Amino acid sequence: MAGTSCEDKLDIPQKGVLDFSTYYKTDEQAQAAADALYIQLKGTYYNYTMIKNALSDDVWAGGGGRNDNADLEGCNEYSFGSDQSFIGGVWESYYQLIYKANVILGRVEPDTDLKKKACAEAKFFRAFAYFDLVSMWGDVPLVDHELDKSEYQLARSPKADIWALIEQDLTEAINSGLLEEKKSVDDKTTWRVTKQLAQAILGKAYLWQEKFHEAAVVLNEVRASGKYKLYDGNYEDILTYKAEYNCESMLESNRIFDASNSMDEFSFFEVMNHWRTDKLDMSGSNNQFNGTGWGFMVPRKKLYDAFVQEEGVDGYRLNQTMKTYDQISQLGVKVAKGQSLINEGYFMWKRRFSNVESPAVFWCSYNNYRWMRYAEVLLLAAEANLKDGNQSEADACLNEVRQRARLDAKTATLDAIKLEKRLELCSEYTRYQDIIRWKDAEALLKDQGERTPVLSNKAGKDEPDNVAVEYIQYNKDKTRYGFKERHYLLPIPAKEIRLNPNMEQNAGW
Amino acid sequence: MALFLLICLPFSLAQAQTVKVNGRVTDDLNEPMIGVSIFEKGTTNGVITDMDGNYSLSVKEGATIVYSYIGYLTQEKTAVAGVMNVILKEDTKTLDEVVVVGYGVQKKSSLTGAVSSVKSEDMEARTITRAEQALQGKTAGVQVLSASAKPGASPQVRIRGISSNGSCDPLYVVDGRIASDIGGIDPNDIESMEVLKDGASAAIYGAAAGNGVVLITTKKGKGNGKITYDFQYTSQSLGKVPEVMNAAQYKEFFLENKKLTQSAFDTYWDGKTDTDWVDEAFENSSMVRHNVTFQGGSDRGSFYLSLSHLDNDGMIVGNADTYERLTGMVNASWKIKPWLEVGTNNQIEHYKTQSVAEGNEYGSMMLSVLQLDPLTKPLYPIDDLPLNMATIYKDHKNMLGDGNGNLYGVSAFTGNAEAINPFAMRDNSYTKNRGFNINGSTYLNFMPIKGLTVTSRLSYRLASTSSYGVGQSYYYTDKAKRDWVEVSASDYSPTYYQWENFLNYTRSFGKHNATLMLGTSYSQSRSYGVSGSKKGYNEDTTDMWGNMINRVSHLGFLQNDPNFFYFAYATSDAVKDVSGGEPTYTRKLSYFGRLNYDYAGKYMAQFSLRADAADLSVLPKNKRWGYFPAVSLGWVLSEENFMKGTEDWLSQLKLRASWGQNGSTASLGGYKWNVSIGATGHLAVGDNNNFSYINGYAPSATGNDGLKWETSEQTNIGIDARFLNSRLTVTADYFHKNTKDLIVSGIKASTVVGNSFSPVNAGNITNKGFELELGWQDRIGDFAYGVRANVATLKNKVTKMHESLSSIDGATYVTYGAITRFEVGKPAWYFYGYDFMGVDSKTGEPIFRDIDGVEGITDNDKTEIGKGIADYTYGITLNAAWKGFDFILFGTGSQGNDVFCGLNRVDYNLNQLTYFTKNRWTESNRNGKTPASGATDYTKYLTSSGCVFDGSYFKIKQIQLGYSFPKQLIKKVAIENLRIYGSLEDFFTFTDYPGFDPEVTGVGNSLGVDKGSYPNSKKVVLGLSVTF
Repeated sequence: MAGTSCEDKLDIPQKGVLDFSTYYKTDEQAQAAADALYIQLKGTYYNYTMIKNALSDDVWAGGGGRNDNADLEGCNEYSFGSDQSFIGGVWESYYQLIYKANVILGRVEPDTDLKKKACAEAKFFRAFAYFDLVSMWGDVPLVDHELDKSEYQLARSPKADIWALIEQDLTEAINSGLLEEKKSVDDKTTWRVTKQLAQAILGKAYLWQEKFHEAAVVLNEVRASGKYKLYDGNYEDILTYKAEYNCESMLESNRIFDASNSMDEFSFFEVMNHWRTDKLDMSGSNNQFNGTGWGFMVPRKKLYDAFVQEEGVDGYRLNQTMKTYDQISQLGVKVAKGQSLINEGYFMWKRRFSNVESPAVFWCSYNNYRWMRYAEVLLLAAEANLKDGNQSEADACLNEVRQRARLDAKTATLDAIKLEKRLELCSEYTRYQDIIRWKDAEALLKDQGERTPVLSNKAGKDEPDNVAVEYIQYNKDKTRYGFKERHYLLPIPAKEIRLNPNMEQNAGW
Repeated sequence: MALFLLICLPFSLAQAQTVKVNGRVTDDLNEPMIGVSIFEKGTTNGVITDMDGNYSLSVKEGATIVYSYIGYLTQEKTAVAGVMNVILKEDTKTLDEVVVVGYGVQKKSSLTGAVSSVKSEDMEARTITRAEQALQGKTAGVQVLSASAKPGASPQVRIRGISSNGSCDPLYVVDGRIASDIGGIDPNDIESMEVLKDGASAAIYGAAAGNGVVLITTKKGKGNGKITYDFQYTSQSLGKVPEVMNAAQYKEFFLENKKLTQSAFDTYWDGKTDTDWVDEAFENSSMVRHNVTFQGGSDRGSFYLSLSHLDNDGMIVGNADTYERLTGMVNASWKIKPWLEVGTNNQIEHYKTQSVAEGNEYGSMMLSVLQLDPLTKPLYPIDDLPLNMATIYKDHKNMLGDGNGNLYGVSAFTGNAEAINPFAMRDNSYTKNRGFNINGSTYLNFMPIKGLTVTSRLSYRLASTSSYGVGQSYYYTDKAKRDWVEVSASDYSPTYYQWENFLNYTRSFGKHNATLMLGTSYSQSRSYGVSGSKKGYNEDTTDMWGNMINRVSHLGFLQNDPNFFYFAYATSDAVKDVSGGEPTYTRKLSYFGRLNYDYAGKYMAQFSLRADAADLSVLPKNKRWGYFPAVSLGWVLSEENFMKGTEDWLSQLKLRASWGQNGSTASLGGYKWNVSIGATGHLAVGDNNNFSYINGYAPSATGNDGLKWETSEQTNIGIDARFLNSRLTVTADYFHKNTKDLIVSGIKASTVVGNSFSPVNAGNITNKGFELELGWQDRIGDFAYGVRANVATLKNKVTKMHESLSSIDGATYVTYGAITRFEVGKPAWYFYGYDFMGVDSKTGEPIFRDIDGVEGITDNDKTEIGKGIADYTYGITLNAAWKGFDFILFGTGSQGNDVFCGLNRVDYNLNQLTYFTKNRWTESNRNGKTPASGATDYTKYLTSSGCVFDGSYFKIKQIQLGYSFPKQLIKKVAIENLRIYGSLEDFFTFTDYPGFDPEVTGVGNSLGVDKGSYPNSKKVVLGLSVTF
């Protein structure tokens, strides 16, 4: 055995991968790197939605019973710590998105249109991630390039630096002229980031910084583009598979049913948000609803009451957004005898999980993930215009939304806009950041966690149904639940604090 | 002169006259000894004794006759015509016993390292089915851990603690072949197992020896033709069963926390049913073994052929957990020329196995028998279903049942918990695994000059594993259901070969003795296989608004009949999935050498060095070579002049010291050090009817081209002593093992870096311990007895971690985060959770120690609450023999290890261990020791010290009584030896742990984490062994 020849045999080439040092050269490679951003974004959706929804005053954590998902209960009741898994998960997802964007911006030479477009998209996603980071955590580490080993443990940067990067990234992306635009208002084929989406996020970033004039200008540009309008089909379908890429949709993550890759669309999103099916007798519903759901994120009565106050019990938007227990029992869905679940007697309808969208297995749906719709842009614009002193534009924005909801026109006051946004976008992941920004959170959430509603059917075997809500006080120590001053910022994830000695925790955590 | 010569001649002729000698050779007990070698000294003239111990030999008068038999003291007698009866004495002074070391053998008396042996007698007539199990309790410092005791399960062996955060499995070497799995060897075919514990002994295996080495030597043929048949029948039953709430207690518990209402019980419980699911799911089962061997040998060669069959039906009702194995062994060698010996050792195995889910909080059969409510019956007649089942059955006719008009009970209380009726779990799907292994080595020993042996050895493994799984169409709950049939199958055929060339050269110069060994090794393993699945799906018809009009379930197979559950009979529209088909290779190249020196059997020294090179899939090119040196010294004090006069009580006293380095890359492979661009997944563009996929590409990891071997450095100091004519033996060792440059994967330095980190060399861990092995053997008349005991202590501590890392998370429990951790200053994978201080008498809430001082109990208040590593482990074996009777008592235990009890869940209405409920806080029991039913912080309690138990145990592994029939009696039917025996194994366990079996919990980073593992059974054994 000659040593040299044997040693050569140890150089076994790796299969199925490409060489890092020579990648990012061609148009095709730049685009594939940008496509990875969309895949990453899609993977973020579950944590993103759970955390934002659970932290709002729209919903109860829900579930089949106490402790069904202690993590979500902790979020919803403001008894969580810096170890909260959704918070840690979404934080990490944002930085993974930022990393992938940084790799593109650091390695793709923008010398062709396609490469420039990839860079513009990278800037958009980097800004998109930083918007949530800075708005929810405050000062965060500013990572704007692929980190070298010596830079692994960064300290936090001031919020102003983060906002500056967001503004710069979005402005450059918009001005590149290479972001896509819908061909018409009804174009359903444009799925990549559009110029108008970048403008909407930029407008949002200005609004959060109280740069009302800049916000109004850029948001009005989106309105003026003519590429988007409110969906005028059945309002109840707006978030369902029946209305994917509708004219109101600003960004979606595409999902499909492909029998050969059915588990591609695996997600807990639908089953978590769907009604608690094992406690319900759905035999009268003609199988239109998916048979598996875990009943988390259930609407609060005070959300329902807010609807009723504005729209009345027969409100068009109310009835297409959520249903009362009586309404769903008329559809053949009842609490089974002897069963109970955490619910205040209200069931989300605009997010209902139909049987048809999961032909393979119950935790796969082909309904697209929705990130933002034009109604939000209008309500952002309403607020920006109002604060910028442009009442008529503010009124126009607000009433465009109200008109679709079949409500009378109103003068746009801040309270009117807040209410409209609450109703129009309930459980659509905007509420939490809004009430934090408006500093309304403490008043709204201070008692969250004090008691928990249990909906049960107390009827015995041969007795008529007897369904009622009871409230149980699980948290007994007032200091350990409810929104407190420190909750205006989320805690830096415990994992990061452990890993990074240069990281400082937010006050009070 | 001539006359003188003439006179003398008759005398000398007379001196050389042939005489006939005959007689009988017996042992101390006056039993005839068969096959004793008898020869005339200095000639090749010889015979062996027959069945009755008789012999007859013609020798020159006055010649010396030598009587020898392995394990007995050789005797020499001067030939006298006529009867010469001889009694051979057992050689209790086995100092010259030969011990197998890597690439050679060594006399035990000249060993300078810490090597423990387990001999065939510790493996025969036991119920152990795998060789690893034989190490348990028999040698100090070797721990055998099981994550499962299901039929055919393989335990994990830990030599001197846990020396890595990754794989800690020792290297197995079978007759020189590096073995990844030793399941194919029937323990009855093993001659001995040597455990190379210290760094110097193991260093000859260099980069693979960081976790110690187990050398397995299979049996060689002996005697002049012997046939042995062994039979063993074992009845197995469930040993320790945790107590769970009965129906009344269950009801009270869930009314108390308001998770169930009175009406639920009124509606769904008949008020009588009180099911004991453990009783329903387990049964007494059997294990049957047959073993036949044929062997023979002489000074020129030997032949050993063995066949064995094992059929183990596990304790789950029915045939859902089985292990069937057929093994064969063919060992042969022949000295073709005085300078050439050829030989081959081969193990052939075929196995079939099927098992149930366990050791997992999501869907384990072991857990479901504890967690299911006692109010539901296992079976209900279809025509008399309870309300909840009738509702389901209306829509789902594919509910599972016993096929005799009964459906498996569906709980109305536990919702869609993962714990489902064990029969539904058993029947809804199954996977059968089978495979074969052909393992072996073929060698040439070339002996060109005296003292030199050149060996060329080719070792190989040809293997095939295939699995076949079926998921039936069924409905149990809205979560446990399948509308179609799913079949999956895979076939893998890995191959391995290893070519080694080495020489051993021994020379003596006066009192100086030296042996030099030099060699090279090259190995390659190739892994290749394919797997696939086919299944049905649902097809929906929708109207123009997207509303479903109709759903059709496609079964995926032509008929709903097991005869059709094969790929060939899948429907053409079945959903297909295929993977594999990519061969992967790993290769290794090594050079090694060793020099042994001893002076007058008094002073010994050994030096060795091995250089190993890994391939690119393991390490970057510039870091591929690792060098592993070792040195050891020995001093036999008892040979010194100043010790003269102690011989009557001190037979031998030896001091040993060794130092050596070993390596490990067991956690690597798959180019983990490299940064490459790989697909990050795909995204479909388009809609259900018209779509295409785009692939995203991104860097796979941060990369680490400085990655190197894990290195273990170990110092060992030992003493061997024999007292009172070797009746008492003592071996004691102290070791200090420091493993540095631990390869840590899956870590982050910070979460903001945004990519997965490539493995880094990021830590040190030390293991220190003291080991003691004691033996006593004596005989009082006909009564012979012996005691062997061993104890080993272990202190394990993580001593260093990369500055960017404070800890590594290990096993998790439900959604409550990691419960084991790897952290500086703590034992490896210690338990990490809340420190439970008791129950608040006002609220029934658990109280935890506030560690961080910040208001509220959060993750930052988690702390060290236990450890899975034992402080010490011990074993004791007693044996006794009297006339034909023999007796063995063998027990083993561990002390100071904790078990995390992961058998409870509170996210569904599941049954709980009564340990947690019987003295819980209630309004009327405000001093209760466990939290109130429904306490808000119950989930924190589940990851607190309240769920950590002392896992110490002592288990009597074996009580065996045997009887050998008198030889005079059985020789009439041409039987040489006949023994029958009965055993109780794993029958008595002493522990405070309230779960199943503290001996079987998690392993690896789940060490001591019990999530419902398949427990060891209690066994009643009957056996027979006959030799012709």
